[in-house]
Amino acid sequence: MNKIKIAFFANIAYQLLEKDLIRFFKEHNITLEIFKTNFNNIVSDGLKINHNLKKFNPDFIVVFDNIHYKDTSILLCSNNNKINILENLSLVVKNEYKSKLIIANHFQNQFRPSGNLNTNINLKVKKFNNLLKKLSNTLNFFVLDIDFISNIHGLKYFLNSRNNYAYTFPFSLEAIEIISKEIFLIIFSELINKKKLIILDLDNTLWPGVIGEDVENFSLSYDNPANRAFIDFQEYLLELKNNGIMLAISSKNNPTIISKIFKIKNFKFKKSDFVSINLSFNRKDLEIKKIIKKINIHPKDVVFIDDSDFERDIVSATFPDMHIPDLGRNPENFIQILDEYCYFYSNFRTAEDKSKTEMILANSKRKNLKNNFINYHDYLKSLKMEIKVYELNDSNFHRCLQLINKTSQFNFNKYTMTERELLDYKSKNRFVYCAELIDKYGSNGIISCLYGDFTSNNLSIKNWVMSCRVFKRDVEYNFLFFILKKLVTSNKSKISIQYKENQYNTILKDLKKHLQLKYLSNSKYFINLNVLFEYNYFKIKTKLI
Amino acid sequence: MYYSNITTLKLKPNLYKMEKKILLALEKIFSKVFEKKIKLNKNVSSSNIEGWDSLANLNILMAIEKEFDIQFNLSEIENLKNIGGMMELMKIKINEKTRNRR
Repeated sequence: MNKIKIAFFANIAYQLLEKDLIRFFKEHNITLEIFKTNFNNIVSDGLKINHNLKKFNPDFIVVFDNIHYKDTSILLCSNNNKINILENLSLVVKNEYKSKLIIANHFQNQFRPSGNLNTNINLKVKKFNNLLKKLSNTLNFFVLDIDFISNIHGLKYFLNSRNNYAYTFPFSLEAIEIISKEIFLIIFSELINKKKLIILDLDNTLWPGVIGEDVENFSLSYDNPANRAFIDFQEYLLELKNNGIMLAISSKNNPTIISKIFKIKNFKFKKSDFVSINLSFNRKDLEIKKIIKKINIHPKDVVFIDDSDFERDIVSATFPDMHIPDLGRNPENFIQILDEYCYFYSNFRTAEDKSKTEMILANSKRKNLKNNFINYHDYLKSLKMEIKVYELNDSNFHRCLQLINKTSQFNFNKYTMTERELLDYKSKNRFVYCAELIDKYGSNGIISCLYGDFTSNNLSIKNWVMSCRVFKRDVEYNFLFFILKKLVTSNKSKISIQYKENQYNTILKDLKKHLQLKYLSNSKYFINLNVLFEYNYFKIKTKLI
Repeated sequence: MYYSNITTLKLKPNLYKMEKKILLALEKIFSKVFEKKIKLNKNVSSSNIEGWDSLANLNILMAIEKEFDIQFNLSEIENLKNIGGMMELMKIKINEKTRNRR
């Protein structure tokens, strides 16, 4: 995507942000187009349909509310009204403009008329910011966290009352770049391929020094300032893990020694926080190859952290696509340096993200179980699988979008979609189905998504994606068969799928062979339903929910 | 009296230099804000330059503040809509700053 269109509903002079915003996008070869809106009464104007804006087709709408304008501020409405306004605003933006919504929260008041007593306006701001955070999950909008960034930089530096009174712009000159960067990050993080796995070294990365040199006296007590910095870094990584980023270890260490570290006070990790723990004195790039193979992940989705220049160089030479930041030698800076890369900046967290590590570990159990079976069919049977099929709804929307845009292997044509495009598939004669796979180890979450359009005689699958976690379990055949059986009403129907081979989706070659896909034209392949009927795949109980 | 006369005399060539410096800096700032080469003199006002609205004014103001490390108050902003007024105010501000430094 080379062009992004945004519009502001704002009662601030948002135009001052334009230059920096355009510059940030340009640095990433993206042209930014901004719709010209006037000073807005967000409460009333935001809910009216602007036909010119509709024609403009914005990808994002940014709402900026200034409490200085008492009659136009959302914050100063009654509580019920606030929720109503936000709900209506998100509906209008989603349904009328088919756009994503970003709402700025509020900075704290700089002044304390009654000293330590909380002022009324500060309480209102805190409550409103909490409400915004809460509603952002249910109403699917992004929060532009002005409160956080103004705190980081300091309110005195960030605000300028003269600008506010004279020009309806509450911020200082210096704040312009900071706010623009934050808006840019929210939008950019929706466009880029986010990192999925961090491979960590141990010595001098998760703790100070080399544990192997003095195991007996090793401690992570809080008395030592360096320990505290490393512990904070551990907690930062744990937070990432809880937000769906997988962690793995690759370290030249002795397993017996390392097993002791998990019992040491203040070491924040459990073994189960890591999808893979590789302890070996082999070459690091070879060990990392093993991890990547085990997790079935592309190196471009991986961040490798190691204090040794030598290790970083050798891994970088083997995996040029991998992201290998140099965090330096000072643990007090690790978090800041890593944070600034924005590798993991995320606006939404799906249920699948939250339990990703657990799912991967359950997958390892499945693999162990597989090794106990000589017959693959028996193994699949023992898994007691069940597929639940869903139509696109609010609770699976973001997961579907994530699967469509992030999956690289089982992906028929790598067509990336905006939220708006996917929403359009909710219309008549179009379909989006997704599948959840459950087995005796628990749910794998939504693992596949398929969408397209159909008429009485034609059914065209625009794309079909599936998570690599559930490969080789015949889920794809069951899911496809189920959907086609549901949608195809006549024997004369022509079923086709868009398929473009690329360097990542080679896994689909087998499927193409088994389904005997025949080339039609323009990357379209013909699916013969009879072939699917006859193909001998493992049958899984599948139902529409 | 004698003392203040000397100060005025001493300042005069400096004052001329300062005005020239301010005018040059303003031309640079205006050209950047309006994205075209702009020639200024004391008589130019917001009615002579197309697009000199409140937003452009804030951009100009902030650029001046950054360049000269000075601050304008809310009440002073009214005088910033023509170049003559702007230069007078800037001279006062720059002098104040220099005096405070001494």
